[in-house]
Amino acid sequence: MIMDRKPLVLGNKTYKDISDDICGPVEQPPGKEWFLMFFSAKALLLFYLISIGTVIATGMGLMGTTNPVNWGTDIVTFVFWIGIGHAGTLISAVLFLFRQKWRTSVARSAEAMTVFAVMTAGIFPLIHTGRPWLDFWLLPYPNQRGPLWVNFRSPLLWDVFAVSTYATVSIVFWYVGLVPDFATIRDRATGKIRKTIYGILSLGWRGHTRHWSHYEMVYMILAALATPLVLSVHTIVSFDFAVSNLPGWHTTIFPPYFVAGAIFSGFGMVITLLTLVRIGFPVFKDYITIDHMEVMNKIIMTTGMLVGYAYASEFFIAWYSGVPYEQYAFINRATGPYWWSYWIMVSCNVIIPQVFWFKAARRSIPIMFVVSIFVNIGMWFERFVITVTSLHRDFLPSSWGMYEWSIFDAAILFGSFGMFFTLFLLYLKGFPAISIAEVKPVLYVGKKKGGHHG
Amino acid sequence: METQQEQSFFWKSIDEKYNTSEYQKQVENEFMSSPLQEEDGKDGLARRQFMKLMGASVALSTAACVRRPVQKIIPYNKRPAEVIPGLPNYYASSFFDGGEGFGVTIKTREGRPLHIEGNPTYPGNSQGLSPRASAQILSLYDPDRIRTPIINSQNPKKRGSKLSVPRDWDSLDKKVADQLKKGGVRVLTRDTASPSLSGLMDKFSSNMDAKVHRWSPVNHGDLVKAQELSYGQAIVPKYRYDKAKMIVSIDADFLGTWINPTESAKLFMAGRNPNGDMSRLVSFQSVASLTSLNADDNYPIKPSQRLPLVLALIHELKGKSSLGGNIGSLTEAHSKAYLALNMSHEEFAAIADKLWENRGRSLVVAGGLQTQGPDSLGLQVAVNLLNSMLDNDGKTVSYQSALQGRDESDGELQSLLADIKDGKVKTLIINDLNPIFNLPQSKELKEALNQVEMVVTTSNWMDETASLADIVAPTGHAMENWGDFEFEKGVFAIQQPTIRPLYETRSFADSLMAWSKAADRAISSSETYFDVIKSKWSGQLGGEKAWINFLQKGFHGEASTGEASSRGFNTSALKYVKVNSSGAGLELSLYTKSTIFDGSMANVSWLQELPCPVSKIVWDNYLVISPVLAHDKHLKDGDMVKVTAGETSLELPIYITPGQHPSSVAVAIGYGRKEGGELQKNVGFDVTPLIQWQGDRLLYSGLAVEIEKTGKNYPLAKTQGHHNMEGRQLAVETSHKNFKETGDIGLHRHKIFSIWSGHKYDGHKWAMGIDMNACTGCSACTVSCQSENNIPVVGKKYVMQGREMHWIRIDRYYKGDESKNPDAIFQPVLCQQCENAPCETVCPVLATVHSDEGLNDMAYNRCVGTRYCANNCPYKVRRFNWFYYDGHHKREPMHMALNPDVTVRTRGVMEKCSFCVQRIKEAKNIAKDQGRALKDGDIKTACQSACPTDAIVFGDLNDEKSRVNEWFKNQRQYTLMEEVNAAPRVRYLARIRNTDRDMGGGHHGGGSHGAEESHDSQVEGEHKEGH
Repeated sequence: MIMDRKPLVLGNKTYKDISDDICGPVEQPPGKEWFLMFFSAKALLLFYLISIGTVIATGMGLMGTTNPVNWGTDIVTFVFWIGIGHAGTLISAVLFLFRQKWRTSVARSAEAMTVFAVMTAGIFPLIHTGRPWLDFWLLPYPNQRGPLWVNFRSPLLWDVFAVSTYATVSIVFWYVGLVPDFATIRDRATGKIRKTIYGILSLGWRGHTRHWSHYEMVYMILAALATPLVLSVHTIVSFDFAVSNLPGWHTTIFPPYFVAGAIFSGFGMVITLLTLVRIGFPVFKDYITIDHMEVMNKIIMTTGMLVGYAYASEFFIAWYSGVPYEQYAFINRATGPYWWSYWIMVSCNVIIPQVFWFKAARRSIPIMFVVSIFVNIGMWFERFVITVTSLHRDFLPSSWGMYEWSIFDAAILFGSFGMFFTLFLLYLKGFPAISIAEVKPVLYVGKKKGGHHG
Repeated sequence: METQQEQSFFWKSIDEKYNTSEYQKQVENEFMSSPLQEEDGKDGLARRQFMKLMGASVALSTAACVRRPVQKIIPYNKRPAEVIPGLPNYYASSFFDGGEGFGVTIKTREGRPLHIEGNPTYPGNSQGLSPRASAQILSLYDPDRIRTPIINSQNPKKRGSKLSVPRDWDSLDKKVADQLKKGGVRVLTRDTASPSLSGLMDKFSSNMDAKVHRWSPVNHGDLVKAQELSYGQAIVPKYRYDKAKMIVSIDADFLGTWINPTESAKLFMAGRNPNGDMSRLVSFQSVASLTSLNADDNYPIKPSQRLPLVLALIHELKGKSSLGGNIGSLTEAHSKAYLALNMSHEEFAAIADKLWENRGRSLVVAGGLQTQGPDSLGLQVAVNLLNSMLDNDGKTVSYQSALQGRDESDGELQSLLADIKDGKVKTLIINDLNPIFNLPQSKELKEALNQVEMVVTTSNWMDETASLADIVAPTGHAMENWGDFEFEKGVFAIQQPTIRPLYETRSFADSLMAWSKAADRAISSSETYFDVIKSKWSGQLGGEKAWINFLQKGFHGEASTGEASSRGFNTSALKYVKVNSSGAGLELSLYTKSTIFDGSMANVSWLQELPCPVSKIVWDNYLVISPVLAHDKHLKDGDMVKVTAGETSLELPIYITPGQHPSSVAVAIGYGRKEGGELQKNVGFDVTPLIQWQGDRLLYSGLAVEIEKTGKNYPLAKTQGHHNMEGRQLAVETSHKNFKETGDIGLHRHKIFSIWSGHKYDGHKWAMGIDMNACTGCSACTVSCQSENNIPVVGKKYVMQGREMHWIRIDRYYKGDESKNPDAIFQPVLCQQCENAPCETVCPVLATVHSDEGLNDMAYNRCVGTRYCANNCPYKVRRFNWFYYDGHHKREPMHMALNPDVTVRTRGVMEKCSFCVQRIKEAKNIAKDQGRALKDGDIKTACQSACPTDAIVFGDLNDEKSRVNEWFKNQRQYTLMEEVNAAPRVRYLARIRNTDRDMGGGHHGGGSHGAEESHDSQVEGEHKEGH
């Protein structure tokens, strides 16, 4: 017997209802909640910009980085945001290729999250340098300084390519998916301004069969291009650490461990955002259903256990390697002066997601929201543990030190959320937050009447 | 007018038409001003306009402020013959820094001194320098120095108020001369080793009927007195550590602070060849010092145990020595003094036996501020007796080459104070001293000074004493003045100025000459002190040519190295050997740090930020207490305690120091300066109130104190917070016995292979060897490097955050039981110039690259500051410019100390040791000019050139005969963390400890002790963790 599929869209929606529901937020003035959230996010963004400006104008010394902990909040938060992005690409590209139809209603927002997270992340490598105004030297471009080339052996340079490729592909992929929906908004538009803007954005889309044919081909090719990026970006980010010789960084497990962690944190953030979207736009509850959330919670639990496995195997390898520096680095992580950060990480990433063994927890919006916040915290601390606790006690005990957390670290960490949320809220207002073109085909999935595909 | 009116057919207003007075007033202003302006700012800009203009100008100035200010280069109108822009000139010179005399060569560029190095041919310190000697450069350019002579012309009763008037020398001289004529003249000064100056002072003293009182805060009064009592000669002998095979130091920190430490370190290490007959150093210390940390065996004691221990040693040897019969029962009561140290008789007798075995080749020393307790004189007499019993007198105690200019005592100061109180003193000239700061009960002292009609100081800073004086006649810096010295008998050194006085200053000798002349009692027929010196030496040496020779060479004469027959010990001196200390409870000693010493150079930031070699703390003094005491009193590093000595009480932070006796606490003097320079103000704590007068002596040690926890905490900045090697094979050492027998340093060597053939070097291949057996940890290299390479100082706050900038640091590890007497080992760490440099591969912009001579070059202007290199450096030698440390906001004239051969790093770039690449370049250029190949030894790095013990060698590995090649083949060589396979170009020679204890060794060599240690020991605690 074949199990009945659950419906992907709830409520007896018609195609028109879908268009009305999804275009609604774009077409109607935003509510009070949106304004409240937007202005708080914007205030945080301004605060962020001022903090960055102060640090750049005065010197990196304002941040907590020091010798021997030469990387701190900037790099930790960079890896955090890059990681967040991964869920979006996974949902929109990988699940697309695997024909996972449930992805349709969450893919758009997940991908928007990817784009904004990568944008937020991209700021950090730029501002963490001692002389940010010379950051363009990291790009290999013809110049009159010799020409002076970049060092292709440096993982930081690989980062430049990895992150910029990821950002480009994600934006293109996201935009291509948006084209038919922009056309829908254009067609529904009554005012001239909206018609013009969305007319330009929809690139002359007329819904012609040939357009659809090309569109589907391009979308699939882009999905295929984006898929390896899910693996490659965080692999390369992990090389920043793995390729160095620092005990605690120099491990081969980092690439898969970072990718698993990235997907884990990404889904955490998707849950956070989508619960907020469901609250902000109740009409979306029919499209982003509890079933969707449950599937993602399952992924969170799975990847959470994957990172848990990685934590454990790091300890095993440290013991098995017989390298005293390596062994000390891991003992120090769990029991040294930064023991608390290690145990925050383990609790948030491994222990807390275990509540999703229970179906009721998986389907409870308050529980999943709280868990997703813990996941976000835990994953920030994972990067903190890797970066700071490895650096603070390395080879020579004479040089051991502590990270000097300053108010600027806090300002820049929290400020980055201001940037992310400002962008995301603007997106919710200006973009169809659910893919109209993709939801309509799955309208009858799991429903008794109609829809012969079942 | 009327015609005009008729012509204007149109009118703008009724006013215009009728041409009212208001209208006429208006047309005077061509442009109508805004109504706002009329209302708001009648006499200025209107508020809004002001805001607009300000906004615009702020925007403009912000946009423009990133540009550096324009600086002009002005060419010489007439170039002095000896100055070639871009090429340095070196001048031989010498100076006395308050504790030690140095023969030096001073590097100048375009007429300004830049760097000081030891004069390699000078028999004293030779090439070596102390941190303080290197830092003299910055002292010369101290922005807080007094720039003109000053007359404080208020009512003497109100001295201390800051109204001071800059004056020219003529009016000042007249004023002083008038006063001098009144008689009652006293001079309070250091004793001087200068033959010319002492000649002038004697003359001054007779012409002016002036009495000279010789005193300095760190004097050797008791030692000199004991020499006089024991042998009839009031001298400070030269101790020949090189000839001694067994050295026992009782609190004499001869490697750090006591009597010519730089020269002593050099001599000491000359006798420490591990392949030969290596000397042994045993230390009994009440204050952990560089000497106790370098000792082969060390025993923490209380101050009151010093004399009993020496007596116990005498007791052990009594039967053997011919002098033994004269001692009587003196030693009986203390024959078992070693028991108090938990030493067995065998252990203690072994020390005595070793001394006896090496008689004539052994040495017992005691002294320094920390021995100036109630028993101090007796201690010195007892030590003299011991040396005489051991037949060391004339051999290792070289009275024949006695040190000059050391005849100072507290008694002379006391007699001066008594005379002032009796009203016998009308004029007091204080030279090169700051008694108000250095003495206790400064209130009394201030009152005493008020009774003097005129107080003249020669201070270069408006310090505690100068601000009370009527006349300040600044002497300027040693590098601005002429002088001559006889630091050691028979060796004459010349002090050449290397720059014209920066300010209106005049040497003390010139002042004496001017004043006596103005008072019509001239002490010299010469015009200037220079003439005095020149005529003296060209006369003595035989003409102008010999004089020029003298200047070039920097010194004249030879040190006697021969032995002399021993002097007869005067047993009547033994009546002074009395144990006065009760020895109960906690005993406090005041000591000097090798960095700050008596506080006279406290305004030099390099010294304030130089980690104390013992504690690794910067910018502070603190109460040194033992781990045991800390445990008993539940104290952590930085906890404030109330220290009560009699009626005086102070609050001090504590610092837990291994190698300290549980009942002995100590604190350094020289800190807590209140005046005399912006930098030193309120750095650390003024502990002089704890000093006590005892008769005619100042007591610095054995003071009964009580300490009490206050619950407050004080942040202490350390550059190293973890003192345990964690079982790692870092600083390797083994026992001399093991090394002699096996030739092995007990190091696990790794098999390392590579599939890469490595770099090829056709030309040079630079490398460095560091002999940890020779390194005393004195840190002279750090300051020399700082001076050579323009390394900034960051201040206490940022050192606490781990942001110190030193390119070479001295790691200091302890091993063994920290509650008893752990061994310490020093390891200088600088950029290892790795062959497989981890920093090079990770830099995304190729700012750090391998040179074709094997250096890790750092291209500052390419660096964007990702700091990845620093993370990937296993040796953590890279330093980041978190702020613009050495920018144009540097206080003038400190910028003149910058070496123009080395880039001043801007904010946001990484820096590190370059193996003094500028010196390599310079040596290459010189060789090329001379048409020859580079020779081994042509290039000396700054650290190498300052090292008194020759612990650093630099050279070309491609040169088969180079010294560094020799060192690289030495059986003691190893690379630090070989297993990381960074393939450093720096190799260490393992330390050899001459002890009978089992040093371990085997697989992990010296590191294995650390593994057994508990990780939670009290001595640990991360730097910065404490605040």
